[in-house]
Amino acid sequence: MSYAITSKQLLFTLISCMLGAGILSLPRVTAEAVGQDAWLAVILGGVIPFVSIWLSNKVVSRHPGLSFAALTEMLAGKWAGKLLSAVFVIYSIIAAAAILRVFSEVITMFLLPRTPILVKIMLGLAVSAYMAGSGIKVLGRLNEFLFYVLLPTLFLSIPAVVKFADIHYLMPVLNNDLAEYSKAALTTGFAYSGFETIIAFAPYVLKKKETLKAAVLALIITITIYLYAVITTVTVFGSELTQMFTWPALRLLSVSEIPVLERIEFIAIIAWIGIAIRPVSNQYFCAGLIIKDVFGIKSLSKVVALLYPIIAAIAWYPKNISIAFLLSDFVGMYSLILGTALPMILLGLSLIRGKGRARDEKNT
Amino acid sequence: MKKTHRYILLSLAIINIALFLSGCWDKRELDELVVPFIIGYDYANEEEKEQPDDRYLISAGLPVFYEDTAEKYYVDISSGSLDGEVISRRNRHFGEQIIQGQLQVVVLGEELISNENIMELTDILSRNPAVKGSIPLAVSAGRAADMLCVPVKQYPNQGIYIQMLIKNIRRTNFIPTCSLFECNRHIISNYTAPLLPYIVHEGDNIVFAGSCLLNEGKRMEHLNMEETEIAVMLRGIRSRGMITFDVVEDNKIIDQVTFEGKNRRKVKVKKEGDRYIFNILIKLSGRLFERKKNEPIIDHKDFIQLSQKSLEDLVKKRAEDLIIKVQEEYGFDALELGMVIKAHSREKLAKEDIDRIIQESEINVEVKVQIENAGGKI
Repeated sequence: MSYAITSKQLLFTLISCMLGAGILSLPRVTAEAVGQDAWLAVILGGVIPFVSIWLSNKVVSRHPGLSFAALTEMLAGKWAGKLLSAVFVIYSIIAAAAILRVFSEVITMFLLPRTPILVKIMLGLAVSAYMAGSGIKVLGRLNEFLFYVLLPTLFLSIPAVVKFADIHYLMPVLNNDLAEYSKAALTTGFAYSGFETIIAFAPYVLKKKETLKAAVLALIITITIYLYAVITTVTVFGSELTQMFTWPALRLLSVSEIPVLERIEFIAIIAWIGIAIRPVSNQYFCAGLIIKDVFGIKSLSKVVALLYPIIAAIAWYPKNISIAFLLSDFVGMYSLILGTALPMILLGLSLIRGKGRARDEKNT
Repeated sequence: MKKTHRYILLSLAIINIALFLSGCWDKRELDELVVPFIIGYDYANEEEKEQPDDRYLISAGLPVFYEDTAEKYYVDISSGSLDGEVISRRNRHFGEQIIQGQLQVVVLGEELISNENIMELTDILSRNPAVKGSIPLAVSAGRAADMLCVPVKQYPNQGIYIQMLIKNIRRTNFIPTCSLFECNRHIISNYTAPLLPYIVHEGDNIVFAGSCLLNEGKRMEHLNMEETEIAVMLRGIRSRGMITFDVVEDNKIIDQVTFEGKNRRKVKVKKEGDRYIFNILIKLSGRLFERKKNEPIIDHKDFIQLSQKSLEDLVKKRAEDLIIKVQEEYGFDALELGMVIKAHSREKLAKEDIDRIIQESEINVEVKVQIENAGGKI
């Protein structure tokens, strides 16, 4: 089966969808919301994705063998189904563009300050287009391979932690009110955006029973990595200083020096390019796949080629970094709403249709 | 696919590749670059100002990489109303491009740092991702520009000399080093005054002459060498050093020894009503480095205990004196307790609250010295 992935590949694909540009600014965003309790915001932020994953799996497992586009058309009818697919496609396109833009901003700041942003966007997107056009199997394998290769770069922050971390920066614990924690959980949205793609990827998993387990494990791994990033950053900088850096997780690497390597943040950036390009590719693939299914186009590559200028234009549109962050915040909110509302609607429709069908069968 | 289509695609691919590879916007030729090792900040004197509104004078210690030049190091001094303007002015007369990525030390002139906030002065460095957060800061007696021009003998240039001096001082003396990141952390996250090393020019050398406390980022107080050593211990800045002291038995000096070792700090906090009680434990562990009397230690079986006790009493006395000075004279957090106070309070505290707590709280010190061995001589 050319369009099939293993549950393990689903796990790494979902991690890749979530783990991208958000990790670098996550300590700042969470520290702004709840100060020293930033780590708690990371855990709370994982609740909505968890609900979404459970709902999505429920919908997909009730209708095995149907792609996302076929599923929406079957449950909501032809036109309403196409509308739901369009909502998802628009989200995936904007998400890919927002992640790509944030990715380009980081490259601008740390590696290529004078290279025009459009060039970085076009080159980054070209790599993503190649990955997305190669199909779900290649994407799944690549997501798994890059996870193993790039995970060790996370530990480059250990020298700074050993030298400067202080547990006092996480105290006092639970010093904010409930409203602030709820707000913080929502502001971590962009960091978790990507979890909603499970509804598009799950139909292609070979062993359906393992889908939920793999997806939940992916979320747990992502939460663990985010917790590591937030705790290490806040215990070294303190919550106040963390809020002052655009990319605190990267800044953390510049406070200590490792003999021979010296400037480890630049090594991390190079590795991070591989990490950040994956969510762009995955969202790009989702958009391409749904369009292909909705319009019955045979070649995925053609759809991918068609989407290239659209994603590049959206990524290029923000005039400055503040607008780029606004776009990424919008994607975060869109992802939370879409990730919960869409599977909820589909599950509701599925349950209504299921009852109707059961009644019809009983009558006959 | 038709043959013509293939050719068109291939041509497009070649054009595309040529477009992206032919000109790298960020390319830099190594021989067109200059790398400042050291930067000094001062106020600009009237005769040094390029424009009447200029405020700052920034000196950059630059190594010269050309082979056929007499000098291998020189100091470029430019003025401006802000750091960025100084860089811009410097670029007007400078042949090579200056890159800040290899900056090793920042020296702040005494007069400037007494009046200007260090956060505002170093904003350009904190904002530039090419500048490492671990870059050390120092305050110079007099002007930083003069310090950068001090001729040095054994080192290729002043930048390398001051960098080596600062880098190694914490391994040999109880003297603080403070990086750009630590300075920012003290001011923004801890509401604590950063403790910066204070350097003076003496003969052919640059010498450490104590430290400076920068309350709210400005220099407020100068600590002498003895106070600096104690401040390092009270603040828990991990370092190594030597202390020469008298060994006392029954109020009589029986010997003189030198201790060599490292320091640690533990802080316990209690709150009685609105009043905080801090118990600071200073731990010193190391070896007996030197003894004046040439007698075997085993002849006096309590000698090590007596040495430990004498050093404990000495450090405790000095620490208590400094604490009184901090509470009564300075009135701000010079002991790195702000972070501990914030961790133990459920209220959102401001800098003023931390200062008030420091003034009103009970701060006790206990010193424990552990002399682990006496070297290779009994």
